[in-house]
Amino acid sequence: MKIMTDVRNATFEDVQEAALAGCSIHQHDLHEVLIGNEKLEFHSAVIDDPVPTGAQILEVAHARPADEHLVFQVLNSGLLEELRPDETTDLRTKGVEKFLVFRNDRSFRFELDGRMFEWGGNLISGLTLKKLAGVDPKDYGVWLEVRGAGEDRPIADKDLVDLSAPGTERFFTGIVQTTEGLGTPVLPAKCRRYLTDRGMKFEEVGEGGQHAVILRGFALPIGRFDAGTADILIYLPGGYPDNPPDMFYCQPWLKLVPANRYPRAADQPLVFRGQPWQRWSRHNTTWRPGVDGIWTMVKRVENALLEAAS
Amino acid sequence: MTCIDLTFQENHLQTLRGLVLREDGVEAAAYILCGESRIESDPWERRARRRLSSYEVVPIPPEDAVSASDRHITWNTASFVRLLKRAKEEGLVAGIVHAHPGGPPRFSDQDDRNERELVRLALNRNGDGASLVSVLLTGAGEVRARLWPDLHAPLDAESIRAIGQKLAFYDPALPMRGDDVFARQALAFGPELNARLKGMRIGIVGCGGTGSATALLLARLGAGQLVLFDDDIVETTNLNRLHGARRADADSMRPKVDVVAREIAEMGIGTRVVPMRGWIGNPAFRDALKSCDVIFGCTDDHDGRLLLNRMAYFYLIPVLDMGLAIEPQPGGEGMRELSGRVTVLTPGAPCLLCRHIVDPVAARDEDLKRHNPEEHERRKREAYVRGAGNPAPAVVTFTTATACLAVDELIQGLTGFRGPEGWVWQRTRRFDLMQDRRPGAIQEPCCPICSETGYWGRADVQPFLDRAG
Repeated sequence: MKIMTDVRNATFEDVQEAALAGCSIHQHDLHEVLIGNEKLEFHSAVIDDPVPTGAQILEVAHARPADEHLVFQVLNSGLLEELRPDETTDLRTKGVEKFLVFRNDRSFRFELDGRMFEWGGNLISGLTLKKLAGVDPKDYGVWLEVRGAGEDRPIADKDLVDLSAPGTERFFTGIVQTTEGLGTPVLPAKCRRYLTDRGMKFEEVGEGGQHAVILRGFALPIGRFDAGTADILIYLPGGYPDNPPDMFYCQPWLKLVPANRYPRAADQPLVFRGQPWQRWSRHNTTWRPGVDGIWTMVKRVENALLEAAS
Repeated sequence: MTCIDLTFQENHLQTLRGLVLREDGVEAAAYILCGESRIESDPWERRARRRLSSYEVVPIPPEDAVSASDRHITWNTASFVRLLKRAKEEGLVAGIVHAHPGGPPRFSDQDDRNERELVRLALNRNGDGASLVSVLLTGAGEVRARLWPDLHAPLDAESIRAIGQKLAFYDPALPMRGDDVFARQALAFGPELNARLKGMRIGIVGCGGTGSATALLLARLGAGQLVLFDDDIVETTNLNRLHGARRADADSMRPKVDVVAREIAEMGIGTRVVPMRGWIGNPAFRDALKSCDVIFGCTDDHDGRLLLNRMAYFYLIPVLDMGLAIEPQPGGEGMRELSGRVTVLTPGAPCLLCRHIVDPVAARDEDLKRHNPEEHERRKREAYVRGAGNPAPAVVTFTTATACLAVDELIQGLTGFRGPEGWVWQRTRRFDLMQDRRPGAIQEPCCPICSETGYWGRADVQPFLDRAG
């Protein structure tokens, strides 16, 4: 058995994408790179020099005029290093190299989780800071350290921080929730995919041997309850999705309007994480393992809410 | 030192033979993707194991083949890189399969050199955690395998199995010293069965009437390693059927697993037995379950059965599930139902859900009772969960006969003494009518466990077995 190994060819996986980039293809001479913007959104480009300069990177990034742009290389450590127009970098190392291109004439420094970064834009968003820190944007927050008195300032994903203000900004990230089992998946893959595809906010709970999913900010029938949205708690038996869930629970407690009373069989509490949740005693008579999943429960919750309100 | 095991789905092995053992004798190759089961500590040797299971066979595209003869094959690695991409994204291990059609069942120096280059490519593409499986087939039907965990040196697979209609082993069985204990058994089945059983690791879930009988039968059969799971203690009402249990055990409230382990140890015929007290779904038991070659399901717990139902397909560990139904006639004359059942769970066989043997609602109520007994009691008062049933009839001859049915099925899978077709997916014996039946089942077309193949050989995923807990 003999293998013809062409590592250079192996690192270039998508010829079609190179064609879209408008470059002619000479497989022995081409190197793929990823060009990103200030939001860390990357696209693929192809360069014919294994040791290009910053100017060549700006060229394949169509960043003109060159003297109004900055280019940074993303190092393996996640840190950024400015690549000046006459400075070279070697693409013949493992992996596809990433570069960031900014329209600016100067860079700004900031500290993130104890490491110094150079940034080519005046502004940086919370989401970008999380990406640079290498943490999961859903589970982690990022803060701007406030020296002296006062709390550190939380930076939301869409917040923009002005790096051109005097002084060096110091950011840090940390996990937002400290619930036991956070990060422990509970939902089977298909169920998680369903909720994600529907754009539903949800939290998976694995605590003390019990498992649940919380649908955050679930939309309620308009004008029928004394709230517009509610969190829906659904306990999942250990064998779910082979075993059916039963009942669901609401926080806050929902009252019908204008009757101003709890719906039928929805006036008992269940204590979960120290809070009393409103128990909706609705029971399914059928469950088809392999067919039914969280989508079935979502429909049953929706139907129960509509039925109670009619 | 980590031990390496590899389990094939039988049809994957057949496909691979068709791809790489060509009639013209020219050497050929193919790819394979494997699920990986990581065991930090197996219950008998307390050793780490990595068990690989065949998940998908990937032929090498014709455009990648460059040249081949009866002594070599050359192909370019573009498709291998695509394989690595899939392995990384899906959490699988990439592998390469080739053949020595007339050659020795040994990897050559050329194999070592070329595979090291592929490992280098895998590490560059997928990072330091990447590894590579290598499988060698010969025209004589031999199979050898190894895992490259790094660039340094490959680890030979200690155990190589294929499961399907049979349970076939391809690693050379360690020769057994002529032990008198099993000499009469060798007269029936030959020395190979004794040697194979000695090396096997078998789990018994539930140590009641059927489980205790199964465990003692397996020990006397010469099974080398057993692990026992049960949460219950011995009670006076068990003594009529619990093999090895004495009144003193009931008086002392001794755990069933400890009683059975004691009886096996005192036999003194070489079985290593590990008792594990607790419910089978305890996460602390996962390594022990994953370490087994075969699992006997002897529990009447619906929730536990559902876990084993998935275990068989995810990890390519056949589960031999058994049950006994005794229903006297209402008037007290004769039996309405008196039957024992053995169901084989393995890729290709209908699962317990499609056979409607397990009640998902009962399983959910068992789960609630285990984790939130106050809420379970509350719902019972409100008639939202079923109360516990009345005590079920149990007779030692039928529990033991059912265990014999199941253990005989293991022997059939290993030897084919009933015929070369291998396993029947389900057998039932009507003890009242002296009839044996082989009931078929209609699989639900979209059952993710036994109709679809996405779980077969998948091994470790998050969450475990792709279920809530």
